[in-house]
Amino acid sequence: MRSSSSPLDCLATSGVQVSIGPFLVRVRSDLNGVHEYLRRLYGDFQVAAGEGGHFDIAIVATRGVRRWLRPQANLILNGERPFLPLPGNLAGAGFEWSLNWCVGNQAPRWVAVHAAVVERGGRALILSAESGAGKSTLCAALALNGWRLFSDEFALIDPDTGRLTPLPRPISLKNTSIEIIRGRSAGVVFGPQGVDIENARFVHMKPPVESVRRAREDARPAWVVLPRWAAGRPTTLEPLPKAQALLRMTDQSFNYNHLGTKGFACVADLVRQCDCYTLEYSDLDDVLIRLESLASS
Amino acid sequence: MREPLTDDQRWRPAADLVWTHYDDSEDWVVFHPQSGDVYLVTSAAHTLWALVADGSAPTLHQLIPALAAALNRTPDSELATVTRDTLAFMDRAGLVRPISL
Repeated sequence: MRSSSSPLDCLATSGVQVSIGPFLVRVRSDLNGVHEYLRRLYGDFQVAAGEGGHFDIAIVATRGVRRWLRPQANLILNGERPFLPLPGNLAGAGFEWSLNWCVGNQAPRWVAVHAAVVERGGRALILSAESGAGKSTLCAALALNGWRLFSDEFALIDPDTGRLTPLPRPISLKNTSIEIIRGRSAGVVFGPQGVDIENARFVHMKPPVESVRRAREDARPAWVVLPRWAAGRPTTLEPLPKAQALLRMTDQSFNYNHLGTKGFACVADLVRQCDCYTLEYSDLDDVLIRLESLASS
Repeated sequence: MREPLTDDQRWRPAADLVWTHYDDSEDWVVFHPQSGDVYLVTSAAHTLWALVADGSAPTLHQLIPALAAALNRTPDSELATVTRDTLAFMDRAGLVRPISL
Protein backbone atom coordinates (compact mmCIF):
# COMPACT_ATOMS: atom_id res chain seq x y z
CA MET A 1 0.00 0.00 0.00
CA ARG A 2 1.35 3.45 -0.89
CA SER A 3 1.95 6.09 1.72
CA SER A 4 -0.29 9.14 1.19
CA SER A 5 2.62 11.49 1.98
CA SER A 6 5.18 10.04 -0.40
CA PRO A 7 6.54 12.32 -3.13
CA LEU A 8 6.27 9.25 -5.36
CA ASP A 9 2.52 9.85 -5.42
CA CYS A 10 3.28 12.48 -8.06
CA LEU A 11 5.12 9.97 -10.23
CA ALA A 12 2.25 9.47 -12.64
CA THR A 13 1.28 13.14 -12.87
CA SER A 14 3.86 15.92 -12.63
CA GLY A 15 6.66 13.47 -11.91
CA VAL A 16 9.35 13.48 -9.25
CA GLN A 17 12.90 14.75 -9.04
CA VAL A 18 15.50 12.28 -7.81
CA SER A 19 18.97 13.50 -6.79
CA ILE A 20 21.44 10.94 -8.12
CA GLY A 21 25.06 11.96 -7.68
CA PRO A 22 25.53 15.29 -9.47
CA PHE A 23 22.31 14.91 -11.43
CA LEU A 24 18.75 15.93 -10.76
CA VAL A 25 16.63 13.44 -12.65
CA ARG A 26 13.00 14.05 -13.39
CA VAL A 27 11.05 10.80 -13.60
CA ARG A 28 7.49 10.27 -14.71
CA SER A 29 5.70 6.94 -14.96
CA ASP A 30 2.21 5.51 -14.86
CA LEU A 31 3.55 2.00 -14.26
CA ASN A 32 3.34 0.45 -10.81
CA GLY A 33 6.58 -1.39 -11.49
CA VAL A 34 8.50 1.88 -11.68
CA HIS A 35 6.83 3.22 -8.54
CA GLU A 36 7.69 0.07 -6.64
CA TYR A 37 11.23 0.01 -8.03
CA LEU A 38 11.93 3.58 -6.92
CA ARG A 39 10.33 3.02 -3.54
CA ARG A 40 12.40 -0.08 -2.93
CA LEU A 41 15.81 0.86 -4.36
CA TYR A 42 15.85 4.67 -4.17
CA GLY A 43 14.45 4.96 -0.64
CA ASP A 44 17.67 6.59 0.62
CA PHE A 45 17.86 9.17 -2.18
CA GLN A 46 16.42 12.65 -2.08
CA VAL A 47 13.10 12.44 -3.92
CA ALA A 48 10.79 15.41 -4.27
CA ALA A 49 7.72 16.29 -6.25
CA GLY A 50 8.65 18.67 -9.00
CA GLU A 51 9.52 19.29 -12.62
CA GLY A 52 12.78 20.04 -14.35
CA GLY A 53 16.22 18.51 -13.97
CA HIS A 54 19.28 17.53 -15.93
CA PHE A 55 17.50 14.55 -17.42
CA ASP A 56 13.81 13.92 -18.10
CA ILE A 57 12.89 10.24 -18.08
CA ALA A 58 9.32 9.15 -18.80
CA ILE A 59 8.44 5.46 -18.61
CA VAL A 60 4.89 5.14 -19.77
CA ALA A 61 2.58 2.26 -20.55
CA THR A 62 1.59 1.54 -24.11
CA ARG A 63 -2.02 2.53 -24.72
CA GLY A 64 -4.82 0.41 -26.12
CA VAL A 65 -5.57 -3.28 -25.82
CA ARG A 66 -1.87 -4.18 -25.53
CA ARG A 67 -1.85 -2.45 -22.17
CA TRP A 68 -3.98 -5.31 -20.83
CA LEU A 69 -2.80 -8.25 -22.94
CA ARG A 70 0.95 -7.73 -22.89
CA PRO A 71 1.90 -4.51 -21.08
CA GLN A 72 4.83 -2.60 -22.47
CA ALA A 73 6.92 0.30 -21.19
CA ASN A 74 7.92 3.12 -23.51
CA LEU A 75 11.09 4.98 -22.58
CA ILE A 76 11.08 8.68 -23.45
CA LEU A 77 14.41 10.27 -22.57
CA ASN A 78 14.70 14.03 -22.84
CA GLY A 79 11.99 13.85 -25.47
CA GLU A 80 13.70 11.11 -27.51
CA ARG A 81 12.76 7.46 -27.88
CA PRO A 82 16.14 5.75 -28.36
CA PHE A 83 14.87 2.28 -27.41
CA LEU A 84 12.10 -0.04 -28.50
CA PRO A 85 9.38 -0.55 -25.88
CA LEU A 86 10.28 -2.95 -23.06
CA PRO A 87 8.08 -5.67 -21.59
CA GLY A 88 6.14 -4.08 -18.75
CA ASN A 89 7.81 -6.22 -16.09
CA LEU A 90 11.19 -4.64 -16.99
CA ALA A 91 9.94 -1.09 -16.47
CA GLY A 92 11.82 -0.63 -13.17
CA ALA A 93 15.10 -1.77 -14.64
CA GLY A 94 14.26 0.39 -17.66
CA PHE A 95 14.81 3.36 -15.40
CA GLU A 96 18.43 2.30 -14.87
CA TRP A 97 18.99 1.69 -18.57
CA SER A 98 17.45 5.06 -19.33
CA LEU A 99 19.74 6.77 -16.88
CA ASN A 100 22.73 4.97 -18.41
CA TRP A 101 21.77 6.35 -21.80
CA CYS A 102 21.35 9.87 -20.44
CA VAL A 103 24.67 9.92 -18.59
CA GLY A 104 26.55 8.30 -21.45
CA ASN A 105 25.15 10.62 -24.10
CA GLN A 106 24.06 13.82 -22.44
CA ALA A 107 26.43 14.67 -19.61
CA PRO A 108 29.12 16.59 -21.46
CA ARG A 109 30.64 18.18 -18.37
CA TRP A 110 32.29 14.86 -17.50
CA VAL A 111 34.32 12.31 -19.37
CA ALA A 112 32.25 9.15 -18.85
CA VAL A 113 34.05 5.81 -18.90
CA HIS A 114 32.21 2.50 -18.62
CA ALA A 115 33.58 1.27 -15.31
CA ALA A 116 32.68 0.51 -11.74
CA VAL A 117 34.32 2.68 -9.10
CA VAL A 118 34.77 2.22 -5.37
CA GLU A 119 36.59 4.46 -2.94
CA ARG A 120 38.59 4.10 0.23
CA GLY A 121 40.46 6.78 2.15
CA GLY A 122 39.80 9.35 -0.56
CA ARG A 123 41.36 7.18 -3.27
CA ALA A 124 39.27 5.63 -6.03
CA LEU A 125 39.68 2.21 -7.57
CA ILE A 126 38.40 2.02 -11.14
CA LEU A 127 37.26 -1.38 -12.42
CA SER A 128 37.12 -1.27 -16.20
CA ALA A 129 35.83 -4.33 -18.00
CA GLU A 130 33.52 -5.44 -20.72
CA SER A 131 30.18 -6.99 -19.81
CA GLY A 132 30.43 -10.44 -18.30
CA ALA A 133 33.92 -10.01 -16.86
CA GLY A 134 32.71 -9.84 -13.26
CA LYS A 135 33.03 -6.09 -12.78
CA SER A 136 29.70 -5.56 -11.03
CA THR A 137 30.07 -8.68 -8.89
CA LEU A 138 33.40 -7.43 -7.65
CA CYS A 139 32.03 -3.92 -7.22
CA ALA A 140 29.12 -5.23 -5.10
CA ALA A 141 31.43 -7.39 -2.98
CA LEU A 142 33.76 -4.44 -2.38
CA ALA A 143 30.81 -2.17 -1.53
CA LEU A 144 29.75 -4.73 1.09
CA ASN A 145 33.27 -4.95 2.52
CA GLY A 146 34.37 -1.51 3.55
CA TRP A 147 34.72 0.27 0.22
CA ARG A 148 32.40 3.13 -0.66
CA LEU A 149 30.33 2.52 -3.76
CA PHE A 150 31.06 5.33 -6.19
CA SER A 151 29.37 3.94 -9.27
CA ASP A 152 28.57 0.62 -10.87
CA GLU A 153 28.45 1.87 -14.45
CA PHE A 154 30.43 5.07 -14.91
CA ALA A 155 33.71 6.59 -13.94
CA LEU A 156 32.78 10.27 -14.23
CA ILE A 157 35.99 12.26 -14.64
CA ASP A 158 35.88 16.01 -14.11
CA PRO A 159 38.20 17.35 -16.82
CA ASP A 160 38.83 20.53 -14.85
CA THR A 161 40.10 18.82 -11.71
CA GLY A 162 40.96 15.27 -12.83
CA ARG A 163 38.94 13.95 -9.91
CA LEU A 164 36.12 11.42 -9.97
CA THR A 165 32.53 12.37 -9.27
CA PRO A 166 30.36 9.81 -7.45
CA LEU A 167 27.24 8.40 -9.05
CA PRO A 168 26.01 5.81 -6.54
CA ARG A 169 23.08 3.84 -7.90
CA PRO A 170 21.74 0.31 -7.69
CA ILE A 171 24.26 -2.32 -8.83
CA SER A 172 23.20 -4.54 -11.71
CA LEU A 173 23.97 -8.23 -11.09
CA LYS A 174 23.51 -11.01 -13.59
CA ASN A 175 23.12 -14.78 -13.56
CA THR A 176 25.18 -16.61 -10.92
CA SER A 177 26.42 -13.29 -9.51
CA ILE A 178 22.95 -12.81 -8.08
CA GLU A 179 23.22 -15.82 -5.79
CA ILE A 180 26.87 -15.09 -4.97
CA ILE A 181 26.08 -11.60 -3.72
CA ARG A 182 22.79 -12.59 -2.09
CA GLY A 183 24.73 -15.18 -0.11
CA ARG A 184 27.11 -12.54 1.21
CA SER A 185 24.61 -9.92 2.26
CA ALA A 186 21.66 -10.91 4.43
CA GLY A 187 20.54 -7.35 5.02
CA VAL A 188 20.80 -5.97 1.52
CA VAL A 189 17.72 -5.09 -0.49
CA PHE A 190 17.31 -6.28 -4.05
CA GLY A 191 14.88 -5.29 -6.76
CA PRO A 192 12.75 -7.70 -8.74
CA GLN A 193 14.52 -10.32 -10.80
CA GLY A 194 14.07 -10.16 -14.55
CA VAL A 195 15.42 -11.58 -17.78
CA ASP A 196 16.99 -9.13 -20.22
CA ILE A 197 17.02 -9.20 -24.01
CA GLU A 198 20.20 -11.32 -23.96
CA ASN A 199 18.31 -13.89 -21.88
CA ALA A 200 20.41 -13.17 -18.81
CA ARG A 201 18.81 -13.16 -15.38
CA PHE A 202 19.40 -9.85 -13.66
CA VAL A 203 18.60 -8.05 -10.46
CA HIS A 204 19.53 -4.67 -9.01
CA MET A 205 21.07 -4.31 -5.56
CA LYS A 206 20.17 -1.29 -3.46
CA PRO A 207 23.25 0.89 -2.90
CA PRO A 208 24.56 1.17 0.67
CA VAL A 209 23.04 4.17 2.45
CA GLU A 210 26.49 5.52 3.31
CA SER A 211 27.35 5.73 -0.39
CA VAL A 212 24.16 7.66 -1.11
CA ARG A 213 24.74 9.98 1.83
CA ARG A 214 28.27 10.81 0.61
CA ALA A 215 27.30 11.24 -3.03
CA ARG A 216 28.83 14.74 -3.17
CA GLU A 217 32.29 13.66 -2.01
CA ASP A 218 34.61 13.28 -4.98
CA ALA A 219 37.84 11.30 -4.91
CA ARG A 220 41.28 11.10 -6.44
CA PRO A 221 41.77 8.30 -8.95
CA ALA A 222 44.43 5.94 -7.61
CA TRP A 223 44.10 2.56 -9.31
CA VAL A 224 42.86 1.24 -12.64
CA VAL A 225 42.13 -2.48 -12.52
CA LEU A 226 40.97 -4.59 -15.45
CA PRO A 227 39.22 -7.55 -13.81
CA ARG A 228 38.34 -10.86 -15.39
CA TRP A 229 36.51 -13.64 -13.62
CA ALA A 230 37.82 -17.06 -14.67
CA ALA A 231 36.44 -20.21 -13.08
CA GLY A 232 38.92 -22.09 -10.95
CA ARG A 233 41.81 -19.70 -11.52
CA PRO A 234 43.95 -18.37 -8.67
CA THR A 235 43.91 -14.65 -8.01
CA THR A 236 46.54 -12.81 -10.01
CA LEU A 237 47.08 -9.06 -9.84
CA GLU A 238 49.67 -8.08 -12.43
CA PRO A 239 50.97 -4.61 -13.32
CA LEU A 240 49.59 -3.32 -16.60
CA PRO A 241 51.57 -0.85 -18.75
CA LYS A 242 49.83 2.50 -18.58
CA ALA A 243 49.72 2.88 -22.34
CA GLN A 244 47.58 -0.25 -22.50
CA ALA A 245 45.41 0.98 -19.65
CA LEU A 246 44.86 4.25 -21.52
CA LEU A 247 43.85 2.37 -24.64
CA ARG A 248 41.31 0.37 -22.62
CA MET A 249 39.94 3.42 -20.85
CA THR A 250 39.42 5.36 -24.07
CA ASP A 251 37.87 2.29 -25.69
CA GLN A 252 35.39 2.10 -22.81
CA SER A 253 34.62 5.82 -22.82
CA PHE A 254 31.29 7.01 -24.12
CA ASN A 255 32.16 10.58 -24.85
CA TYR A 256 35.87 11.42 -24.56
CA ASN A 257 36.12 12.06 -28.30
CA HIS A 258 33.19 14.48 -28.18
CA LEU A 259 35.32 16.58 -25.87
CA GLY A 260 38.21 16.35 -28.34
CA THR A 261 41.76 16.82 -27.16
CA LYS A 262 40.57 17.92 -23.72
CA GLY A 263 38.72 14.65 -23.23
CA PHE A 264 41.67 12.52 -24.29
CA ALA A 265 44.10 14.50 -22.16
CA CYS A 266 41.75 14.07 -19.21
CA VAL A 267 41.80 10.27 -19.50
CA ALA A 268 45.55 10.23 -20.17
CA ASP A 269 46.19 12.30 -17.05
CA LEU A 270 43.97 10.02 -14.98
CA VAL A 271 45.97 6.99 -16.08
CA ARG A 272 49.23 8.83 -15.34
CA GLN A 273 48.29 9.27 -11.68
CA CYS A 274 47.05 5.68 -11.25
CA ASP A 275 48.73 2.35 -10.67
CA CYS A 276 47.33 -0.01 -13.29
CA TYR A 277 46.75 -3.75 -13.08
CA THR A 278 45.09 -6.71 -14.69
CA LEU A 279 43.21 -8.91 -12.26
CA GLU A 280 42.14 -12.49 -12.82
CA TYR A 281 40.09 -14.15 -10.11
CA SER A 282 37.58 -16.78 -9.19
CA ASP A 283 37.56 -16.51 -5.39
CA LEU A 284 35.90 -13.31 -4.18
CA ASP A 285 37.26 -13.58 -0.64
CA ASP A 286 40.77 -13.92 -1.96
CA VAL A 287 40.48 -10.96 -4.28
CA LEU A 288 39.01 -8.82 -1.51
CA ILE A 289 42.09 -9.51 0.60
CA ARG A 290 44.35 -8.69 -2.34
CA LEU A 291 42.61 -5.37 -3.03
CA GLU A 292 42.56 -4.58 0.68
CA SER A 293 46.31 -5.00 0.65
CA LEU A 294 46.55 -2.72 -2.38
CA ALA A 295 44.61 -0.02 -0.56
CA SER A 296 46.78 -0.34 2.52
CA SER A 297 50.05 0.03 0.63
CA MET B 1 41.51 1.18 -52.92
CA ARG B 2 44.76 2.85 -52.00
CA GLU B 3 47.78 2.88 -54.27
CA PRO B 4 50.85 1.01 -52.95
CA LEU B 5 53.38 3.26 -51.29
CA THR B 6 56.09 4.51 -53.60
CA ASP B 7 59.62 5.17 -52.50
CA ASP B 8 59.62 8.80 -53.59
CA GLN B 9 56.22 9.85 -52.24
CA ARG B 10 56.73 12.72 -49.83
CA TRP B 11 54.94 12.68 -46.46
CA ARG B 12 54.01 15.16 -43.79
CA PRO B 13 52.58 14.60 -40.30
CA ALA B 14 48.88 14.99 -39.61
CA ALA B 15 48.03 18.09 -37.63
CA ASP B 16 46.98 18.26 -33.99
CA LEU B 17 47.85 14.69 -32.99
CA VAL B 18 48.24 14.16 -29.26
CA TRP B 19 51.06 11.79 -28.32
CA THR B 20 51.24 10.30 -24.84
CA HIS B 21 54.05 8.31 -23.29
CA TYR B 22 54.46 6.81 -19.85
CA ASP B 23 57.67 5.77 -18.14
CA ASP B 24 56.66 2.14 -17.56
CA SER B 25 56.90 0.98 -21.19
CA GLU B 26 58.34 1.94 -24.57
CA ASP B 27 54.93 2.20 -26.25
CA TRP B 28 53.18 5.40 -27.24
CA VAL B 29 49.50 6.25 -27.46
CA VAL B 30 48.35 8.71 -30.10
CA PHE B 31 44.99 10.47 -30.31
CA HIS B 32 43.67 11.63 -33.67
CA PRO B 33 41.27 14.47 -32.85
CA GLN B 34 39.57 14.59 -36.24
CA SER B 35 38.49 10.93 -36.12
CA GLY B 36 38.50 10.48 -32.34
CA ASP B 37 40.55 7.29 -32.82
CA VAL B 38 43.29 6.20 -30.44
CA TYR B 39 46.24 3.97 -31.40
CA LEU B 40 48.88 2.15 -29.42
CA VAL B 41 52.17 2.21 -31.31
CA THR B 42 55.70 1.02 -30.66
CA SER B 43 58.61 3.26 -29.85
CA ALA B 44 60.03 2.56 -33.32
CA ALA B 45 56.78 3.65 -34.97
CA HIS B 46 56.84 6.86 -32.98
CA THR B 47 60.43 7.45 -34.06
CA LEU B 48 59.40 6.94 -37.68
CA TRP B 49 56.58 9.46 -37.29
CA ALA B 50 58.98 11.92 -35.65
CA LEU B 51 61.33 11.62 -38.64
CA VAL B 52 58.43 12.50 -40.94
CA ALA B 53 57.41 15.32 -38.63
CA ASP B 54 60.81 17.00 -38.52
CA GLY B 55 60.94 17.06 -42.32
CA SER B 56 64.46 15.68 -42.60
CA ALA B 57 63.38 12.44 -44.31
CA PRO B 58 60.06 12.96 -46.06
CA THR B 59 60.16 9.95 -48.44
CA LEU B 60 60.21 6.23 -47.77
CA HIS B 61 63.52 6.04 -49.60
CA GLN B 62 65.00 8.51 -47.11
CA LEU B 63 63.14 7.20 -44.09
CA ILE B 64 64.65 3.71 -44.15
CA PRO B 65 68.27 4.77 -43.54
CA ALA B 66 67.16 7.55 -41.20
CA LEU B 67 65.18 5.10 -39.07
CA ALA B 68 68.03 2.62 -39.13
CA ALA B 69 70.37 5.30 -37.80
CA ALA B 70 67.89 6.37 -35.13
CA LEU B 71 67.41 2.78 -33.96
CA ASN B 72 71.09 1.91 -34.36
CA ARG B 73 70.21 -0.88 -36.80
CA THR B 74 71.34 -1.97 -40.23
CA PRO B 75 69.10 -0.68 -43.04
CA ASP B 76 68.43 -4.19 -44.35
CA SER B 77 65.44 -5.60 -46.21
CA GLU B 78 63.65 -6.53 -42.99
CA LEU B 79 63.80 -2.97 -41.72
CA ALA B 80 62.70 -1.71 -45.13
CA THR B 81 59.64 -3.96 -45.01
CA VAL B 82 58.74 -2.91 -41.48
CA THR B 83 59.20 0.76 -42.36
CA ARG B 84 57.00 0.44 -45.43
CA ASP B 85 54.27 -1.42 -43.47
CA THR B 86 54.37 1.05 -40.59
CA LEU B 87 54.16 4.03 -42.92
CA ALA B 88 51.22 2.39 -44.69
CA PHE B 89 49.50 1.86 -41.33
CA MET B 90 50.09 5.50 -40.40
CA ASP B 91 48.65 6.56 -43.74
CA ARG B 92 45.50 4.46 -43.18
CA ALA B 93 45.19 5.76 -39.62
CA GLY B 94 45.59 9.35 -40.78
CA LEU B 95 48.75 9.94 -38.75
CA VAL B 96 50.70 10.98 -41.86
CA ARG B 97 49.49 12.59 -45.07
CA PRO B 98 50.90 12.36 -48.59
CA ILE B 99 52.19 15.63 -50.00
CA SER B 100 50.66 16.29 -53.39
CA LEU B 101 53.01 17.77 -55.94
